[in-house]
Amino acid sequence: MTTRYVGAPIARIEDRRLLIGQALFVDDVDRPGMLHVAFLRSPHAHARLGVIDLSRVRERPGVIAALRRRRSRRLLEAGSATGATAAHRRDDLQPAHPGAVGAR
Amino acid sequence: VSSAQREVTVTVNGIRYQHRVEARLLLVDFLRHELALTGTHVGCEHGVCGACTVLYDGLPARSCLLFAPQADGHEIVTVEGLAPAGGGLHPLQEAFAATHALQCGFCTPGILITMAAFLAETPEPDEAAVREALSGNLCRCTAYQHIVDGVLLAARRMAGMR
Repeated sequence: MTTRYVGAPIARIEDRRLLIGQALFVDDVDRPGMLHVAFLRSPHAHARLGVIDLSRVRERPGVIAALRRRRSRRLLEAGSATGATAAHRRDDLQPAHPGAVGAR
Repeated sequence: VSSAQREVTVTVNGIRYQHRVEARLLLVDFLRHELALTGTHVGCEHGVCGACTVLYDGLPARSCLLFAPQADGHEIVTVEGLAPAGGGLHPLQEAFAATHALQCGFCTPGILITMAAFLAETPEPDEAAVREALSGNLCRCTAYQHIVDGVLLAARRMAGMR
């Protein structure tokens, strides 16, 4: 039996744009009003989530929103994040979350 | 966070740009956001993965470990500048397509830039030398074998052109 594909190298149609730097990855998408986001994961393995205190995060200059899982389940359900913070500038997110999660 | 602004004059892929930027803007963010050259990728953001590699005065450099003002007065080449003008491809780009040296393609620009500099310095490398030269670029798809094949094929073809 002969086939066209099994055991034969198949030329890929996507290679050219990947090779010349013209591919579109998610990070390359530029739409108006986009924000940077930092996700918060529990630092405690296999713990029951007690408190997420985002008040200090919200006070940081540049922070647009800080969400916890209950309020943002659809946003966060894809991963294991318990919270998220958004800002216009990536720099404003850098120290956003330390100490925000408490376990019991 | 300092908001000091700096004037940056830099040549990228043969074109001279003059921009006023934040002093702490990373070179890779300058290329991607200010110049819209998104072929250079941000992987690890701390100099480990090699995805952001560009040529800095002809030498490979991590653009995530440089501030844009550090490129002031220098020449940068990104993956967009690798192919010759007129729609052709660099021999490395052609060889990578021929040997299936890429899958998702995210690491590819950094690898092409790193290997372009490597072959300029080492035109007839053996496999061990290619693997050593590739050791600063992470690829999570290919297990490197086809990348090594691609680099060796490009080296042979470039030798044939000389």
